[in-house]
Amino acid sequence: MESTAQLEHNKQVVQQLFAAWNAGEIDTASNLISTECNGGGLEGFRRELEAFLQAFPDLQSTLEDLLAEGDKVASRVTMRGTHRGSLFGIPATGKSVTMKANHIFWLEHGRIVQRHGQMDRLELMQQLGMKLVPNEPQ
Amino acid sequence: MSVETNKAILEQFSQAMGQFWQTGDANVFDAVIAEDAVIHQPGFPPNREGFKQALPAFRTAFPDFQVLEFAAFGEDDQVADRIVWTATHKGELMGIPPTGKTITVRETHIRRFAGGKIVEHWGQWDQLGLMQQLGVIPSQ
Repeated sequence: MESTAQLEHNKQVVQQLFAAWNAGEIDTASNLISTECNGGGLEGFRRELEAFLQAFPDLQSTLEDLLAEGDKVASRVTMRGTHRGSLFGIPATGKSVTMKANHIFWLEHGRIVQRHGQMDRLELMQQLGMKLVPNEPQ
Repeated sequence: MSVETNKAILEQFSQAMGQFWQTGDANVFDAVIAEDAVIHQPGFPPNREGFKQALPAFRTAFPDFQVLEFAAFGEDDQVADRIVWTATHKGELMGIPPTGKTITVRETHIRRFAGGKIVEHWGQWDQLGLMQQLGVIPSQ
């Protein structure tokens, strides 16, 4: 049985996750992720977040929308940051970027057991001044 | 409207997508997307007519579009979903000639409903990931 309190608690976990990102507190964020989470478990999550914060040390996410049903929470965030470190092999450009992402999280006992995030890296690349070229052997 | 009603409308949207892929008639979306709906999806214009005009290019590029996974849940007047689809690149897409490659694409959406239709759509998908599967890479 899902209760309103349970749904609210699950939403709070997601709010805490983005608050920890904003504070650059990787340990706090990691405490909300199950060791069994998809995407490489806890280590996979840490690696992704570290890489992202290394690329955008001043990253700030604004939670635009949050909804929950059963053990699932969906979020819509706008992230803003300055490209200060290497990202997908692209050296720091110093450019300010705005990224939008949708996430779907599955929770169990107050921890995230599945995370499915999507953002458009093409728009990000365009903001960094990159274009797409054929990946052909030279 | 209840979440279950909105999920049923979303199911109609999915069926409309299937019909569109079969027939090429984008007007099937008029029954499920409000005329003044706002569309937020990378690579797509922000309104229903733009959405309808942008889709045929994908139908041409990926004629065998097939949904692998779909799950939706909702609260109040919104429904969120996650979809995984696959297709073979058989037609030109954004200047890339058909490669014959099979791609897999993941999307997450949040949609708001009113009056029995979708009135706002926030979708995310990784267009770069799609393009990389077709063999392009970012460059300065």
